Amino acid sequence: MTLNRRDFLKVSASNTALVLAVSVPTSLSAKAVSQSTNTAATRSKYNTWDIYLTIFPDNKIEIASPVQDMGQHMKTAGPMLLAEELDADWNLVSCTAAATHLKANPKDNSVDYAHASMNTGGSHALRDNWDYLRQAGGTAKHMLKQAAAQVWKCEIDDIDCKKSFLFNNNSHQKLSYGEVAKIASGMKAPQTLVALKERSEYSIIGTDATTVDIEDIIQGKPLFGIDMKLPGQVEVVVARCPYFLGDIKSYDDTEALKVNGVLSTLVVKPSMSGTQKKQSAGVAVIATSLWSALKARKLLNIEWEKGKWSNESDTQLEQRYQDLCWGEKEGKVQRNDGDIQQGFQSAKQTLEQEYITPFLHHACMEPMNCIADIKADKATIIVGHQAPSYAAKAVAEIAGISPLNVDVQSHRMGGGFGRKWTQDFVSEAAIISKQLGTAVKVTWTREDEMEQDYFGPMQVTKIKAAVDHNNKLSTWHYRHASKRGAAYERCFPANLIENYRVEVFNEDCGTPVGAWRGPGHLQYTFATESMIDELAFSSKTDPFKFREKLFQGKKSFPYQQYGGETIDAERMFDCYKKVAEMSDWANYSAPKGVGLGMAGHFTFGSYAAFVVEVDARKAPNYRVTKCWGAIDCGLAVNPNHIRNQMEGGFIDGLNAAMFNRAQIKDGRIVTSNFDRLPMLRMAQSPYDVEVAIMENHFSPTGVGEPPTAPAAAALANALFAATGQRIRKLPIKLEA
Amino acid sequence: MIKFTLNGKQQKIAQDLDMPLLWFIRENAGLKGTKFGCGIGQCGACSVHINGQVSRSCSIPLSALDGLSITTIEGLSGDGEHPVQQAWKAIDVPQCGYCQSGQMMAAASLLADNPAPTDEDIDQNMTNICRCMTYVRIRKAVHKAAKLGKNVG
Repeated sequence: MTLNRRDFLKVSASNTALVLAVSVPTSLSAKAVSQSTNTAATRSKYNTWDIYLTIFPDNKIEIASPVQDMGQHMKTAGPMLLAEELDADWNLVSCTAAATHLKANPKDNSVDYAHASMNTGGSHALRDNWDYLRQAGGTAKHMLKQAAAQVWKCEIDDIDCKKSFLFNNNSHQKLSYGEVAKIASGMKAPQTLVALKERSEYSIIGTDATTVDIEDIIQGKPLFGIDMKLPGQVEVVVARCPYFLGDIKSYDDTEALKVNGVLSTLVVKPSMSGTQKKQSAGVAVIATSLWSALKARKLLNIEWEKGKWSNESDTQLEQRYQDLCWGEKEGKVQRNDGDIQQGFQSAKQTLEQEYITPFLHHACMEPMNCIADIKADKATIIVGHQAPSYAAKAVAEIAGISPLNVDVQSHRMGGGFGRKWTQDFVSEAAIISKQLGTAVKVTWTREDEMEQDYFGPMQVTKIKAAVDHNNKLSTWHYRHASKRGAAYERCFPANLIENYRVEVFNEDCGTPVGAWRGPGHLQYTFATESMIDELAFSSKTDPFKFREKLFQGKKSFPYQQYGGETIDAERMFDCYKKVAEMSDWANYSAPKGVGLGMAGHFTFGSYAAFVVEVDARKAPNYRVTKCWGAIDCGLAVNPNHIRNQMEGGFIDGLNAAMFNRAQIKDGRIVTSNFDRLPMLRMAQSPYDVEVAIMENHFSPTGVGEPPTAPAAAALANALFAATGQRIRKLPIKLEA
Repeated sequence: MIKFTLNGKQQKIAQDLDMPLLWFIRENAGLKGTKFGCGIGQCGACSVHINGQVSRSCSIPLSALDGLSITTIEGLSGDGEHPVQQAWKAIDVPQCGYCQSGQMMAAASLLADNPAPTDEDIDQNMTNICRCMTYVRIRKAVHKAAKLGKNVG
């Protein structure tokens, strides 16, 4: 049954709340439900689709965040937008996760979100919800005002709102939102967009808000997908083929089935899309307890079909990529400005170097897991996923039902970094549940997570670049090879140089690759910002002054495709300038073995630059001692969490520079757990990252990825300044 | 049959004694604050206190626990009032939050042994992995907890 969204349910319960469903721009509805029945099940029963706001009689407010949290803090930032336009008292607000609401798109038979976008990836969640959630808050406030006007028998314009109270400017009376919420829920919602506040009127946006889940986190409350349970579920672990795109030749489960609590085993068939895996081949062990399943999995006797990629290693791929980059063959030309041949001929000095970045592990702290209950006509999925609609679509395909009948219940993710954007761990659970005809919880171990990754792609980048007789960068010939890298021919130094050419080689391999925190940007920035540093030193120019010359007089350029509409040289350079000031770059002096390095980048709409100080007096050991970072992410919605990302996101980039190499041999992963994959820990962490947030008039952009990209180059450049050793390959190996 | 206490509650167990403590805590006792991270004692997401000392519960079988006293994040304080929890909140340490129970258990153990740790002490004793790399805030929060603990004490 689909209710007319403009119908209002009348509920006579005394403890009634306003529950507002908003669909921008014009489709609005509100309905009253009793507090005691205000559960997900009830909401679903009444088909009250997008419920983002509930105001209770005691004036408490619950805001459901459409975007789930994975550490990027959208569960805090999203509700702040709504609360701001509602003029809510932030201290009265608690936050939950919204249910997944999908709608069919009859045009192309696809499904999309019915209301706010729930995706979190590409640093777009805040941008995508910026207008929507503010409209939701503003609309609710308008309805509360209408209700108060009815009570006071006055005009709406005579009413002001502040901190969850309504004030009658004529009679000086006051009502709480909770007191009029029930009446407001019967009001006709405005059918046009409401006027939004000016920035100068903000009292929540721009303040340092604390993580909304902080109490639950510090007390260890269940928050994550792995903490969840569906009644009747069986526990499942899967022995997946460790060879990329391999299969099962044969298996014997006799011993495994003898383990107490083990119910059965079944085969998950592999599937592929080109040379990218969709589903790994595996033997699922089904048991009454997770421990039984884990014990039994070790007793499976499986002979693997290694497949055609079983000779693949990352060292051999590196060689292949190098041959391409240095070879005669032309790559796919992504951009060609000016004339590079002429540029090199008239150059004062030319450098040609390669920069190598390895396959990168996601190593999400919470390994993948998924609860699936596939029925004939509907499905329930409990999971932490970056794109719930994609999860629904993948499950629907397997279950043979409409995605609209897949109830994806999202939970907080213990890290995502792009890994939880893929659907393999969801579809696998759906396949197993469908075969068994029962609810299953599939839990991955660390080895599963490490072996079955979609790795950040390995990349070899070769840059030949020249400076003219004014020591200014004039010519740039960029070539890179990887499985599925992005060229970023639109990123700086594009547009700043007369002669600029980008070629890429997309080379197939068996190793699966995917999105890794700002896909391609760390790899790109390591190469370009290292080369710029090399050119500065070789032309005896200070690296900051070299950039100043490069950016001077340049403005904004179109940035077609994903990431933003424009890329602005002034905003980028202001970040460099700021970190130079913060680190006292011009006057810096340090003993031999200690030095500063600089790098910056534009990632998905935001600009970030960093200076790193490294102490390498005990080389080959070294310690990053201090970092300074400046970010321009438009309006700062929650400076506290922008700083948190500037710290953690940047140090994740340092981790990629120092440790993160997914080592591949014989077509499978070598680095299968943290005993083989070192990770940056407290003893390698900088003591502090000092952060500046650039003030400007732009709309907010994301902060989850922009701080990561510049880290490797900043550290490599600092190591050069400290030791004279130029790092051109990650992970960094410093000589004594 | 072995006996131990979990957050003060007596446990008597006669089967699955080879099961790591982590799975008993999460799956049998239903306490989800202690997290699975690596299963080999490397990352510390599963950190608990055994007789007051921080230990990685994924690598300790139940059979080794006879007569011992185990505390998880849920038992660190009744209500989140432990100085470490309060410091974690004041500094707003978490990003994803998954490893933070283990980080707080490690910090509480460190502070019990060393009420005013230096940066070097923190480097040596706070060895858990935070994949979101919130180490700058973890360090600040340990220092903050030391101050709060002193005031409380």
